[in-house]
Amino acid sequence: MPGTASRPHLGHGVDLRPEHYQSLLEAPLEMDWVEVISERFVRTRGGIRLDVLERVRREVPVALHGTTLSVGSVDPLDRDYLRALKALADHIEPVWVSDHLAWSSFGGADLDMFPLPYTEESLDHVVARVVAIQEALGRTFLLENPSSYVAFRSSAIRECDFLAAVAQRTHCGILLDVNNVYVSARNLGFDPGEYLAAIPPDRVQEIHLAGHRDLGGLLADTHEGPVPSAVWELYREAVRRFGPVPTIVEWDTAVPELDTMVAETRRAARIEKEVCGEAGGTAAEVRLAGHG
Amino acid sequence: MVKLAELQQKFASLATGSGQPSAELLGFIAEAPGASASARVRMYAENVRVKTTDGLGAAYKRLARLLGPTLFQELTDGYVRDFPRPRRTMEELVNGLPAFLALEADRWGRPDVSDLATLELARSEMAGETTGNPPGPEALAALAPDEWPFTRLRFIAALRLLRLRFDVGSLWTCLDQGVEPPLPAAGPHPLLVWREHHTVFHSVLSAEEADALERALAGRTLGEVCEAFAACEFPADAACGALAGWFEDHLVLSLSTDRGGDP
Repeated sequence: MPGTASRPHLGHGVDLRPEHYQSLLEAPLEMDWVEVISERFVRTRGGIRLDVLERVRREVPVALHGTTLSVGSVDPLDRDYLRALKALADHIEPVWVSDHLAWSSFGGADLDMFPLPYTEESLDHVVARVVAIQEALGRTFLLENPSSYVAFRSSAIRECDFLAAVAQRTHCGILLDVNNVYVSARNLGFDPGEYLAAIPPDRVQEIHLAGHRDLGGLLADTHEGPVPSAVWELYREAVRRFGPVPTIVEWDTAVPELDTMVAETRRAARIEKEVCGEAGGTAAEVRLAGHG
Repeated sequence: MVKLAELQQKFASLATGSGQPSAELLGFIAEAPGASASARVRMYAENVRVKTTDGLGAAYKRLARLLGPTLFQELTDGYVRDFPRPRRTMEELVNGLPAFLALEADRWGRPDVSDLATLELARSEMAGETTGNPPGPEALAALAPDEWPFTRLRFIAALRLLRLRFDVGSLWTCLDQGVEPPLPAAGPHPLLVWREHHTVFHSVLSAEEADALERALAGRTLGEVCEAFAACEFPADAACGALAGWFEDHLVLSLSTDRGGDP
């Protein structure tokens, strides 16, 4: 079928936290797959962290998720970091490598994930960077939508269209963070349903779920607490639109016992099954109708 | 239209400076309901601050516990402000904290904070080092007495000998047990940090054993290593006890004997 893509359905898993390393070494894994923050494992010469990652990788698929590739930065790409990331990926053989549609460094200083103006200049810049990253890594790369507190006057393109355009021009995948869509929609006043509608289904390779904090006027993307009900509802909408998508639960603040995070993955699996029937909730190859 | 580089420069200045947005930066921001442009951009500056404090707090858990949240935040704010620019990666911040603490240790309430941070950093580094497959005590027992003077040891990578000024081993234990930390005890405190399997250990060494280990790490022969115990009441017993301990703790990766042309 023309325009048809496929993605492995890896099921539902968690973002691996250092707080859980010891229990992961001692107990059987109770999740379909895991994601790890790349920066915790690059340039390691061995040791406990790599032992944990190797042990997990022997049992389930692993994705490498980064925060410091600084895809949108005007700084030169950090080639040393890219080489180290490639070495890690070659060793672990992840299902894919991902990072954010954001910039996180300037002048060599680590910052946080900062927003981009969605302009033609930014689009050309990000496309060139993603192409270079994919060439350097030699494997599937996914770009994640950020959570935003500001929009720029100069932005002429909606974020969802920008992300779709990057994916179309570079053939990268999309890591759709449903919590980020919800947080940004609330903070900037757009319709999260319209955002999902603009995302090409055949590019969505992974979904993130997490919690946030309501500061009154703004929602803060803190990855704390259970996934809020509004984010579960948006997840349901995403599954309805995109079908079963490999899903990861993130929890970075006041991290609970691993069992609590695993319970969230089971809830995601239940929702997927409710929406997709038996096709959901299990690891399988999912074929998708192409976008457009 | 503002160029990408200019916008990033303004944003970066916000995050690495006072945290207060310039009028120019605010002029780039589109209005939206719920919060002012100023409140929105300050979220990013605060996120950088929180991320930095969290990153340092994760690397220095005992130091953060000792200082408490308010003083630890004051420390990280001051440290970041004084850190030499332009580069300031999280790894550089983590690695540079013990030296920063050593500059003005009394400012943080105790003179032993730098040593505590040094121990935390070393333990963290050991978690990321390899141990290989070290032999047990039988390897030492198998060494013929006449081979000792010509034998050198090679150690696992996951090992550090720290020369500290304060007894932070006791401080560490108190912080772990949640009991009142002792007053700083000054004096030479050599400390050995190493990893065995998935556990990182540290242990206080005698001055003689520290000197012997330093010699062994430098590639000196066992004959020269054992001379470090010459001032002990029973030098041979002290040397044998220390060496046996190194093998029992799986610190020694291998032995090599070279008689230097001796037939």
